[in-house]
Amino acid sequence: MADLGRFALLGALVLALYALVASVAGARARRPEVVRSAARALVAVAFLEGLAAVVLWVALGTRDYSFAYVVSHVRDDQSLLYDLTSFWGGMEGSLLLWVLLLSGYTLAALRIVGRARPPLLPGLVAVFAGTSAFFLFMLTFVTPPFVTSPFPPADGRGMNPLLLNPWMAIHPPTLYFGFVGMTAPFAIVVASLASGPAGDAGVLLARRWMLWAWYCLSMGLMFGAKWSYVVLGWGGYWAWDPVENAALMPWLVATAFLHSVMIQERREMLTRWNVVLVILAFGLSIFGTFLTRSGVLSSVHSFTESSLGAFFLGFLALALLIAFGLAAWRWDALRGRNELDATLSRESAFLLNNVLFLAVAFSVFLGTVFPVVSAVLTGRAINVGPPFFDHIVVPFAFGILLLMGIGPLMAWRRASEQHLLRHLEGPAIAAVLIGAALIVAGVRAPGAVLAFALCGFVAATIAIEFAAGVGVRRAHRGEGPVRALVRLVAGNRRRYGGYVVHLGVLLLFCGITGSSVFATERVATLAPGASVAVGEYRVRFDGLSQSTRGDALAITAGLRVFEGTRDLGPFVVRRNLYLTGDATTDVALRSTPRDDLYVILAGWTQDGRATLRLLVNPLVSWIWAGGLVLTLGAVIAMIPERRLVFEASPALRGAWSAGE
Amino acid sequence: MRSKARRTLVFAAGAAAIVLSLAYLVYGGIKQGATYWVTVGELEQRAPAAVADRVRLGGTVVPGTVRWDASHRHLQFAVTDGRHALPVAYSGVVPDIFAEGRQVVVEGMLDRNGTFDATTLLTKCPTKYNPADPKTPQ
Amino acid sequence: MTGAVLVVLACAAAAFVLAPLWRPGGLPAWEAERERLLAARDAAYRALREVELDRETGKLGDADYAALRARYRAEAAAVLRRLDALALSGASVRGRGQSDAPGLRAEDHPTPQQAAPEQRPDGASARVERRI
Repeated sequence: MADLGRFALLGALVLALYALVASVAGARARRPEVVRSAARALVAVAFLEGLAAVVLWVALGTRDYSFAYVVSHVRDDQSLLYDLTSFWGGMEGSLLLWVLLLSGYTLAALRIVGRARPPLLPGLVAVFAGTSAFFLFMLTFVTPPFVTSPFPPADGRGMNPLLLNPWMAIHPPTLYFGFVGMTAPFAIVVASLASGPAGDAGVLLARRWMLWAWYCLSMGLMFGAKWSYVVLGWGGYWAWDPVENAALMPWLVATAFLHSVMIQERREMLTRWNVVLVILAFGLSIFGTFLTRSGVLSSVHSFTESSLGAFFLGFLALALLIAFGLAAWRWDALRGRNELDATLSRESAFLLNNVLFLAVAFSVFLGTVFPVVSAVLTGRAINVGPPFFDHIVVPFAFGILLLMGIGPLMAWRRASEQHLLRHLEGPAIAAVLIGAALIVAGVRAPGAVLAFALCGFVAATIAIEFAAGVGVRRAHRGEGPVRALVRLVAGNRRRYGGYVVHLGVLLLFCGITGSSVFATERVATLAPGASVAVGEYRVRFDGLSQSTRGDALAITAGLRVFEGTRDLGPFVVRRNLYLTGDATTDVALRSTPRDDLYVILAGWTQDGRATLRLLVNPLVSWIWAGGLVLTLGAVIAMIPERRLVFEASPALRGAWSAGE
Repeated sequence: MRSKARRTLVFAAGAAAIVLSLAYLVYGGIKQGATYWVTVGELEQRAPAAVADRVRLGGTVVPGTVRWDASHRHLQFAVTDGRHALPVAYSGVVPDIFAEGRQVVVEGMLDRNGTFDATTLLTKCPTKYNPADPKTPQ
Repeated sequence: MTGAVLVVLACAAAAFVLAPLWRPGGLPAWEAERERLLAARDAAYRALREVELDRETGKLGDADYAALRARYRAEAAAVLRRLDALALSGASVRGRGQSDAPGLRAEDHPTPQQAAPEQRPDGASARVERRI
């Protein structure tokens, strides 16, 4: 069976290379049948990869320990679900997942984009084939998943128990949908650049693909943060780890793109800039995969440990060279038709948005690769930790927040100053009131006051947008408020979906501010019956107990939580000690909209005392709520527009149709 | 066109302001957050001069040297780079996967007695695929 | 057994992949010009809608509104004229009954019309050699 898997991957590699060559040759020789053959080759590649995946899954599900991969990720005592999700728990499997998802995107893009704009087909095939070929090469020669041994052990090692968690099961595929998804807009743009003069360079066609990939990355980042918070047990959700940054960077670039593409749609400008963003997003997602896979930045001293890194960097360099080369070739033809009309306009707001997002992305990149860069430049590796990132990102985040409020208030081309100021009055007052209320309530941290005041400001502008839109509809059509709201959003999905996304981001900002600035921590060693106060809560330690759960020894601390005189019920925190020497923590978490009570069992003594680390993290649930709202907004924005129907003379009816 | 020239000036000034503030923040961030990576050997070599220098040290936990005082939450162990070993003292919460033979990264400084006072302790997952390093801030 | 399976797979893949080479030509026709014009038309419509929405929600002053609206209407009308011309000139060559919009008049503002549903060009009837 391993042979089947190996040959499937080898065959896929051969076919991918064929597709790459045939698509380019067929295009140059103007032989469409050759290009069609190349497209078919990619279909066959998808099939073969699926076959290889089935082989691996069967091996994992049946616990076939002749496979080295199965041995390192499966154990007899492990639940079947985690056996199967360990598919992407290791290097080889995750690369196979990457290439499988890429094939999915390939087939979808070839069908959808290939029919919408047939001249792009050869370029699409070439880009997908080339990327697939790289990963298949890695899977065939560098990190093959089907390494077997003739003497299979009796039992496997199983996965690290930290990974045996639903969030960790879902986090890699979601993240990969995002990473891999960046290939589609990249392929569309590269194909456009290669296939013909000018136009929009495929950017407008690529927009929806980028939106989808961006959304998947957003969810992947959320799930990762949730896992970090709930499973790793250090009390936080984001540590500016290289692996986290790896996913954040393409997300930032994609966000910038989603805004600047709107300028290109309306004004036919910034085509070149958008092309650069798409290429950059793809490059960063490959770089992100490289960072996560090769572990190069987790330890500077293992930089040359594996050749994996060299291959990735080589592929990245080649892809960027080709893409930027094509862009340079078409540079003149891509010049925009228009220019910025006014300093104060939505275009300039979006431009500023782009600059801010890219500044943050650049800073994150710099901080992430700092050890390598400094080692090269100064001979000594210097590490910059979370303070570096916080110091830079926070001010820019404030700028972005402010812009999020002001931008939508501006009209395209030229925003009239007096209208703008008039619209800003209400939200500004709301912001000042919120700030004052916070100060009166005793909040002293200036950053937090400013953050909440700004969030209030932006929320007010968004609310006004919705209210104004509903008001207009009601004035023209006499619809009830709810109906008007629904029709308003349905008729302008991209705009109002975007506003909902912004609302989600606001919740995120509030949650991050609350939990960063106002967290309280206590560490205490308690004898049974003793209590410790943390924040508004009092936690009483009732005693330790020991049990076996599955293949782990569980030390459980029974607790009880009180708030004032109210008994909030029992609370349980646990440390699981596995035979393999690993340990995990079951965090005791009590989540309310106001705050999270978070307790971990840090240690215990022979005489039954427990060392507890207690945290009160305000507003953390707002972060997860923000993720949900963001999802809603993204879904609204992603529903496709039907071809526009333009109802008769708007001057007469003063209305716009709900045909979108 | 005067207004166009003025607009260009405004944009250029804005861009310059952003770049400058970014540079300023980056510089400040580096000063705040930068720590040097060293190996055990390097630290020992620089020993007397290296006291009170904030550094990051990577190495492996030497088996048999781990002492954990639960009531004071005080951890002692030795870290090695394969050739030299250095005693480490750490107070605080220990990551779940900390164990003998595991790779660790400690941040802190060397004290006069030749013990490394660690303020941060990170342990690397033993498997190659590393979703995220479990961390404890100090 | 595995060997036999592999041989069968290889043959099937080869057949599937190489089959098109025996049926040359047949690239679906794609009128770049028409697609470009349709996109321009959609952009003009979208801009008009936005201008209306911005005006109604008070972001756009009267003077700006009037200027932009006139501009976008002129753009839309021009695009529609060109689409019309394209449809007329192409209809006889390709024998297509599909004309873009019935009753289109070259006036200064767009008239009420139904948007043309997206039609996939039929490769068989359009043996036009196109540069890919």
